[in-house]
Amino acid sequence: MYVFAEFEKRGILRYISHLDLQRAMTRLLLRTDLPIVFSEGFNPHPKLTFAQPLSIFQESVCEIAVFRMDGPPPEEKTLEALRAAAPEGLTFRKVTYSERKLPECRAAKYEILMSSALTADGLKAAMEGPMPVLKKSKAKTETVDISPMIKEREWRETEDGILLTCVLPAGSKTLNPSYIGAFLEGKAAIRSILRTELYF
Amino acid sequence: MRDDRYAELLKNVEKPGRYVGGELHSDWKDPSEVDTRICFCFPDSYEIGMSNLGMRILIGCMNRMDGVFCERSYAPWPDMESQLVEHNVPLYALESGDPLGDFDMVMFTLQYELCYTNVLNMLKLSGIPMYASERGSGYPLIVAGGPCSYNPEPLADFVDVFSIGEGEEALPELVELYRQCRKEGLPKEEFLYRASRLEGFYVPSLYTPEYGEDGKLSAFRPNREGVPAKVRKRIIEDLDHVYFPESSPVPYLDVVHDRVMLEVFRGCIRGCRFCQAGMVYRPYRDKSPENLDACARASVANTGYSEISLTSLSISDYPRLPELIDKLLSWTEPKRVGLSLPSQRIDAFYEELMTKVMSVRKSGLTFAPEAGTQRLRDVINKNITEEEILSACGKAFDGGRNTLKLYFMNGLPTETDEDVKGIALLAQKIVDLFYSVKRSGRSVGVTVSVSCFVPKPFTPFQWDAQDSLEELERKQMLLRGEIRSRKIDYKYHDARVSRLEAVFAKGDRRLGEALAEAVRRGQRFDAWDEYFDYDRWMKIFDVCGIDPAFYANRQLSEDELLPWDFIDIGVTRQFLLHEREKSRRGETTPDCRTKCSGCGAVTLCSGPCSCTEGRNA
Repeated sequence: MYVFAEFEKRGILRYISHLDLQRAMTRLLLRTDLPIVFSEGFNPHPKLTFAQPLSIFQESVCEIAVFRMDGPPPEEKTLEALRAAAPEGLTFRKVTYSERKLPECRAAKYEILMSSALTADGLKAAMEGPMPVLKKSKAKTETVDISPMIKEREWRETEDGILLTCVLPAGSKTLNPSYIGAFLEGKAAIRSILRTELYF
Repeated sequence: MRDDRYAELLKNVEKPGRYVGGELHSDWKDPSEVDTRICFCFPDSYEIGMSNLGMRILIGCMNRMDGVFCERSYAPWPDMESQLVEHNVPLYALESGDPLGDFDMVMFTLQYELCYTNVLNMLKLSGIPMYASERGSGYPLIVAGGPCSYNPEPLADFVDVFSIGEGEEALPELVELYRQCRKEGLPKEEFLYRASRLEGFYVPSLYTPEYGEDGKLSAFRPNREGVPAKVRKRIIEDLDHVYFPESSPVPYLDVVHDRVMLEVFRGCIRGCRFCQAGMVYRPYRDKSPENLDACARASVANTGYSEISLTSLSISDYPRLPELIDKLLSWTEPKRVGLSLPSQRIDAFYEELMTKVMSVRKSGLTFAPEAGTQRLRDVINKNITEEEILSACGKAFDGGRNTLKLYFMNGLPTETDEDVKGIALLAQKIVDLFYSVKRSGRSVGVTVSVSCFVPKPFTPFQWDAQDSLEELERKQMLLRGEIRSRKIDYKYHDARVSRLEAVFAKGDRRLGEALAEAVRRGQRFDAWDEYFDYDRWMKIFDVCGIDPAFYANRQLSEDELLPWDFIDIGVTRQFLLHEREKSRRGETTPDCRTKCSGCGAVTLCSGPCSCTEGRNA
């Protein structure tokens, strides 16, 4: 049985990388008495994946960890056990069971808070044309126009700064929201990034 | 940390997780509701510091005190250091984020000599004057302890109080004394005076050294009436009733020892003559399997760790090891928790036990013959024969292993070129042993890791000189030439690092100026290859008028007053001298359980020494 555990990663946990989160989640699972399915081999560990890795310095209210259980208790019992074992900053919101794997994540919604000398309209205008940035991947580094990838843009001025809400591709074609900061360098500085929704 | 005040700095560092605390089970008290605030510092990176069990124990001991909150700080990595400096932010404690200068006491654990510059650099980054004499009542008290405080003198000018020996009972006593003195409105001097009269505490400002014209220490006395001439180390007699941190911070970052560390015993029954730990931690005292099992269960349940490491100086010397292992395996196996047994002696290597232990996880196997020939192993009192080494390796190979790691030392007293070549010969014999039996389709790998001997205080070799740098490097090259098999992977330590270690290990107060100067020049993280700078150190010694060879490469005379002689570790000078004489004759001394060698550590116990009598008899 696959378990989809939805959680928030907030506060100081934004200083923890994805790799470190994986280890923390493994330990969290081991602190529960849940019937977790382990991998075989010399170094047995819970089989654990995440819907979409979250970069260091970013927060989220919509993360999903996927692991497997044999003969699981009711969903609310699992949720209770996970909550009891969770460290500060990691809050479980929901547990659902499924016979099938989680499909690939297609897109993610972000709230990007920026400080800028410009107004929201000014920043909006700055992002209207093509947005060439130097994009790094494992294979190569190239200049890419990220503008077409940034969808459903909404601009708002708040007390804390200018807030851009947008939807970016995830999964195999993922765009890290920090590239928007790279493009706006000199015009705006990103203060915080919050992931608010995943789309499958 | 409960707020975001350092977000701007943390954005620009490689591993911000090092500087934010907030790990599962990290302690928290409202700073406004406690009367005494302590910051316990580890003068190296977070990843090293979080791997230290002693620090976890001591923090736990102090946080169990009402009205006391003990936080943590680690040496900021140079990228964070520049951020602190650039933003003009003083070094802070991870729990509250408050600067170290705001604390009542700042404590440092001294695990190795090459962390001394980090101690001073952490003070500097906190805006706390390095020299104790420059710190008035507005600054925190600086306390230090740990293995290096058995020769505290190189740091004597900087530290207010040293804690000598085990701290579980001593540190809370010091904290209580501090609160009492504050309640009475006494000045710092009076607190220090009273601290010097508590057993196990050394207040350097209350002692004055004198030096003869030859540069040697000629006298070392208290400079105030009532201050004891000798400082006796503290021990915990009953380890089954001492605090153990079953619920201590679980790091997010990948730290060096990321597992449950289960301390099985303290002290050592062996008596290797180069080994400081083997002498200063005497007498042998252990915990019961029942207690250890309970601690291990609680620790695993609280942390979610999937590995337990049984720690001690020489785990196979625990008389009830098979019983302990069986107890642990009864629940660790079903839970898929692995056990690791580092520090096994070759002569007590049980492959059967290892096979049992390895049923969950496979881990590497390391032996420490220390010397390549029987003659030299007898000189250092290693008490193992070549037969035993080969037999243990054979068992390991038969048990299905094909890689082994062997530790040796270069530069041990009386070492000849034959001894150096003996390392290569022994390694070759082990390779040949592997191939003496047909083992299907596998190849052997023997790692030979050779460090340089550093003479340490409170060992029978404390009077000995370290080989000169040139000699150590010559021996390293000699050995390289002797190793011919491609199955042997030869690794050796940078001799220059070991030389600096020797200077500070056997140093006196006059080295303080060099440390301060090094830190002024930006030197720190000496234990890290990327920041170690031998030439710079030599310049610093030169500027300060210090001859490093005086400390590292000089044979001391047996009647010379040593900078650490005022410390009483229980083991007597007479015993150390006797052991030294025996070493020159190639005579060995049996382990404490076979025959008491009268080292003197029994005087630390209220009853008979537990290594030969009592419950483990």
